[in-house]
Amino acid sequence: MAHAKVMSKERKQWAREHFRGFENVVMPSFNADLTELDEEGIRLDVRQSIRHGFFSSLCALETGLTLEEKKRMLSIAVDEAGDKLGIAFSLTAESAQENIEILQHAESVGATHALLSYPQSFAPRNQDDVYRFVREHADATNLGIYLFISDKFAFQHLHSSNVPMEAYEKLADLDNIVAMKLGGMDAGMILECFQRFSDRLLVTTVNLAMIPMLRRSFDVRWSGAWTVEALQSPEKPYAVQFFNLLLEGKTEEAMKVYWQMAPALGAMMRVMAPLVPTGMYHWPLLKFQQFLSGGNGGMTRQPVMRVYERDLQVIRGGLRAIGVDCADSNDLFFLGRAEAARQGKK
Amino acid sequence: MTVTRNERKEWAKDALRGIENALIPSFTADLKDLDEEGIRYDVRQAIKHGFFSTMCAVETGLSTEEAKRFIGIACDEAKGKINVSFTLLNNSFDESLELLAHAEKCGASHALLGYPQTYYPKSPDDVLQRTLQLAESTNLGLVMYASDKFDFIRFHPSQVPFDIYEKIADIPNVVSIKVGFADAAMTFECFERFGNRVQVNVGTPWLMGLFPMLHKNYGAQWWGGGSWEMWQSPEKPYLVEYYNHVIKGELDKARDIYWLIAKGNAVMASSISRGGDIGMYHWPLGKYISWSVGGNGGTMRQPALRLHPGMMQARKMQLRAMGIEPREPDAEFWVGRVRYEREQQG
Repeated sequence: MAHAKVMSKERKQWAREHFRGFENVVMPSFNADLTELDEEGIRLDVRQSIRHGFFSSLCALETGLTLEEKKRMLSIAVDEAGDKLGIAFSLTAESAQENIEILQHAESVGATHALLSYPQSFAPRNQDDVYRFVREHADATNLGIYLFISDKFAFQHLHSSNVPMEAYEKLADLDNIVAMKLGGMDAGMILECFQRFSDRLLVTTVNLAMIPMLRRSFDVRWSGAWTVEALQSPEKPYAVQFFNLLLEGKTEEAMKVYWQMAPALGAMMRVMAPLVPTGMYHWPLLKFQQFLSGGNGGMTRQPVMRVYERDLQVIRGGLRAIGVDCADSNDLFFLGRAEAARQGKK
Repeated sequence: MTVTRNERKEWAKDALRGIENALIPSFTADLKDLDEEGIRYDVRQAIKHGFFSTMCAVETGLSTEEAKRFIGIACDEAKGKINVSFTLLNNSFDESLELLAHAEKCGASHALLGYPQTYYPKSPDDVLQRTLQLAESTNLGLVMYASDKFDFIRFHPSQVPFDIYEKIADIPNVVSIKVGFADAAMTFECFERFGNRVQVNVGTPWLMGLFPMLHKNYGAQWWGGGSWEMWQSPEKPYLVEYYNHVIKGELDKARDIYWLIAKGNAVMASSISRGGDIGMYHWPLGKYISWSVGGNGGTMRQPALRLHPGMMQARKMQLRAMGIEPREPDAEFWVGRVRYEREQQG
């Protein structure tokens, strides 16, 4: 069974109970010629998310899918997740209309919440434009919505932090706006968002290293959505342990685990940090991070960043340095585990 | 006023308050000799900026005698108006010992603890013994340096050998630790571990935005040697004002200034060259940053990173974005303001 239906008015309370630990990202898997979704591959990755100990998985829909494929991916993910895992998704369609269609589908199949992005064509003249855009989405669904702070939306003309603070102040009061993901790295922006919104939203940062310090002042109880598999395996769930220890108030023990996984974090940053200013994600490399601890792997559709051996080596080396040593070949990754099994390869 | 080694921790509580800039040496036209007038001019500039201390960067291609002279000139010009510190980032421990002895005679107040390029300790205890040797040779205050320059990652994944730094923090004249690179977890450890004994500082730009929280939670009260002129001029001392507002608890005013000076960050960040993460600094860029708001300027000896036109243009755009008109013409920068004016007159 999927998560029980929660009404818009109950979403803030629901989120306080539900958001705990990590939300990862599930990317679509495809068949060998990338013409169709690979249902088995998607299901495998959802099961992996559960094994890792995450509370939720965000389906990355901005990966070259048609509208129907986006809906299908969500349906598959929710079905496989049952009540073991929340299913979120990115609202990254080219228009509000398409976003709302996806929201309605997602609600009907039992997804839980959505990360609000802004279309490429969205050029707000003022903060009211942002407010209206988000409000339209929030009013159209009972799902929880979380706000996304990212430099890629180019909101600096609205506020030099890139965060439309006044619009978000009003949006934070809405019933089903439940959380905020801080994707930017400016420390002043991070601090101000925690100070302004923590009374109403579950604010978090993707900068994992900041969370222990922030917890001295704020109730940071989750982080996501990002590829947490870069730091652990289901058998060695360092990141999940780290966060659990923090939540239990065992900060010194948490830091010991943090430094254990630091080499993998460093490797990830060396490869991924230079890509941040591009405003898009390297889906295949993110899938490779998951593959190394049992994820499906496989390529994603164009437009897509290319896979270089040099980057695979760094990522593999980072995980190996923390004891996550994957014996499977890169050939298997390129095909994807589910597709390889269908072809009788291993 | 002479402060003895055993009084230094107490001294630091009052003395280390405010922002310390980096004083980069000026040279004659052929770079063969120090330009005393240029150095004196820059000390006066640091005072005009409102900095409480100026740190002589001696790792800029100076002979030991020149490094001593540089510190001597700075101390003479500073007398009573601003503290003078210096870096212990030399070629050998013998040189560091010689500089410490000389600087104490000249009236410097503290030094940033560094380890020579030639130093490859076999154990963390070796670091302690060497540091003790430096500390016991002087009455000056010493600032530990949490830095990624020393390749101490073999002792701890954070690059900071915390256990040994715990012991170093207990040395009577070790008064502070500079948090010298942008790693939030390392920063957290430094404040949590050392904040009860030494003045943990803001030593890297990324921490600027966290200063309100670091001051509130840990009593952070000073910013260590850096090119802080990046965000202010003597006429518009934004950063000093930001610092003062935070100290006075005027957080809204501090926030307003922070978001004003952030306006040019994006353009500057994308144009800035490597530095810090390669273990050396871009001295010509540092000089250009200070010259463009009134400093002496002038080029630097080899080996030096190159200053590209794009960086100079970006710096000007950054200044204009925060309402500071950059100094012109660039021709003055290459010569150094003091000598340029002399040439123009003569």
